[in-house]
Amino acid sequence: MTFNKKKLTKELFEFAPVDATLKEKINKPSLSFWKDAWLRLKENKAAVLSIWIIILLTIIAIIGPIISPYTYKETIYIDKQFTLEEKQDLAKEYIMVQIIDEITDEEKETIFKKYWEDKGRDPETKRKQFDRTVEKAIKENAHDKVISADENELDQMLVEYFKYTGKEWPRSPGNTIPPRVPGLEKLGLFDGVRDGINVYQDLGIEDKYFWFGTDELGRDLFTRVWYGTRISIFIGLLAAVIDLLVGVTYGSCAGYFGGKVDIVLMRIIEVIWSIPVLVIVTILILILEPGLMSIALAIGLTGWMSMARIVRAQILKLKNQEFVLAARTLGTSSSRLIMKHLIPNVMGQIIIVTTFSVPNAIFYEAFLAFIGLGLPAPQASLGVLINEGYQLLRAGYPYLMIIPSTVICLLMLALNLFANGLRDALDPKLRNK
Amino acid sequence: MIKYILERIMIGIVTMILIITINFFLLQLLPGSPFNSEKLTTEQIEMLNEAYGFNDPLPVQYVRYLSKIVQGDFGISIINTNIPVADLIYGKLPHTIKVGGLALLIGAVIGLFLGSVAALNRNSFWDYFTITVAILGVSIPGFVFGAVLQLFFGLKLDLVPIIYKIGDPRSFILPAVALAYPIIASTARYMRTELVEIFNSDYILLARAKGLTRRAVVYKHAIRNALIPVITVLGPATIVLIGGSTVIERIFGIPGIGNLMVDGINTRDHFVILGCAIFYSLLFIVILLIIDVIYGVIDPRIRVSGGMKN
Repeated sequence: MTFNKKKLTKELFEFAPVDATLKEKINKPSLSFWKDAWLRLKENKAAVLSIWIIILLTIIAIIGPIISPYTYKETIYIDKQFTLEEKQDLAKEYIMVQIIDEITDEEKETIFKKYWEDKGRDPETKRKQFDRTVEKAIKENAHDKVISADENELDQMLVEYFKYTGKEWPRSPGNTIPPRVPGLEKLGLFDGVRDGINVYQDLGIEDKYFWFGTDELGRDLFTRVWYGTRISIFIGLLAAVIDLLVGVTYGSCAGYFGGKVDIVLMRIIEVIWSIPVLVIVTILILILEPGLMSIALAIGLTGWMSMARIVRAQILKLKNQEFVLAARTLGTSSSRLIMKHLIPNVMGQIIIVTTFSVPNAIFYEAFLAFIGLGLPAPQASLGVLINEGYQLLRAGYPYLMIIPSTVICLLMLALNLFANGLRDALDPKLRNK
Repeated sequence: MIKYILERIMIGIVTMILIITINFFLLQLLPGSPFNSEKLTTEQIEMLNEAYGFNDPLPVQYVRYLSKIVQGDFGISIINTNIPVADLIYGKLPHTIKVGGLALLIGAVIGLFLGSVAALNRNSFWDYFTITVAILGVSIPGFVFGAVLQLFFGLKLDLVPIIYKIGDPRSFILPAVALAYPIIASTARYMRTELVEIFNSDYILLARAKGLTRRAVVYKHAIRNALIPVITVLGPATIVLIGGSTVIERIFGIPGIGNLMVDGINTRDHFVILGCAIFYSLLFIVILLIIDVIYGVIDPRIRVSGGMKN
């Protein structure tokens, strides 16, 4: 590399202005705690991806059931497909019914005469069998017509038959139809084929696409999965809120008042802590009867202990600091001190614990559904769907379990990774723990 | 030391009595009666209530129940043709213990191994592998994992039986793995954190400074010290086993306590539910007690400060 010395003239060098005020200037904009945490969270690729997955799943869970033409509890009925013989029979019946209804007496007379004349007999000797003969003649005529008709004509006649007679087209619940998604079906995935047979073709509903298939009662699984996701997320959030309210109140009381209050409150937690969660949740739900609220309540009421402990520990640490003393000297009441001075300082920890309690609650709801304490039918949550799918796993319908399982795993994974990221961002000391 | 252990035992007993009391009164609030068959007339139900002492005042029922429990009598199962609940539990216990113990062993060994390897080779393949396992461990529900194992190894590959069979050790494999996997995840995660922290500590620096080989540092100083706090993982692992056993036993058809309890829930068999709940609580309290005592023996600091709390 050549270095051109000529260009470095003396004029290029100047003394920097000496300004005392500039020395004190902070070039970097000042960051609040939350801004700083946000910057750290943004660097965590897994957490950012998780946020997008959570947003995506929530949006689909909200709009999925809305855009779907079916509801979560409605059984989808499929028009019956007729075999060739059945079609011919119905077509014959159609022709006959139509002719018999419209025929005049003169026409009957002609048919009657023609029938016996064709056979070489005198019609007058057979006058007694008039009705039977006419019927027979019409039947034979219809038979000939039907036999010579091709499939399209038969289908046409079938439609006209049901229109003409005003009868309902026979329908049956379209149950356990495998998933079929436009586009993907060409790749051999989600193509509606089971055991080598295209079920959609078989049922004559090639124009329909059940993206996730239908369940054993013929309900659209796509609608049910997203409706269930909605319910699961709702239970998770509700349980987290209960967790938050009870845990923070309990923990801050124990921590702030200390002494005997603290000892008693902590002993109570210790006892509740020693009862396996399964036992408490089971009994609570049995008492409250399974339902959206009772399940969320039971899960929330068993999960608040860790929140209470963390809040208590933090407040114990904070309450002897000068700012608390200052506030108290100025005459702040206890409740205001807790709400306005202590809890905001514990906010980071509270948010972390709350974020972790959402996936925990979703997990527990699924678990409860699996042991038979889920939402009553026809309601659906992811746990209920997995449970229903599991019953049919070995019957050859694995998609009924695999699809809701995939959604719950994805949701749990995203929530956990997000909570991890949030913890690292809000509390860098805990990183890698 | 003895004083410490006695104190812990006393706390355990008090907790146990409180749990029994809470459970008993909560169960009284349960809707539905065990005698809800349509074939029974009102008089017959009345007679059954009388025979089982359900008509007595609550305090009388409670005292009677408590005194019976002290004698090891958990009452009589109402649905299962009058078999004592204690007998039911003892009959089912071996299956739960067999699978649960195997799961605990698998979980602890693999978990400790993975955690150590990850901490020793940070940012390597094994580290990322362990972190992934740990995250998946809390994200995939146990019954989903169990069902996937069943579907893949049992039905698709036909390697192992998918239903538990008494006397067929091969049929234990899948349920034990399904139960062990959350334990693997939590143990590995804990061991990794613990080891990483120890590697950053001063005494490891000292050990290196005085010229010990890496081997000696790792085995003699790091892993040994990391194992102490890992004992506490046993507590959460027991909760995992208790919760997991109900679903895993249901999936694999194991005639264990979890199945007994779920059946009890579905038939409103009060004494069975209560018996299982008390059994689970007792198991958990005993394990917590053992952990506390071991911890107190190993680490004198705990004794002084009055017990390790999770």
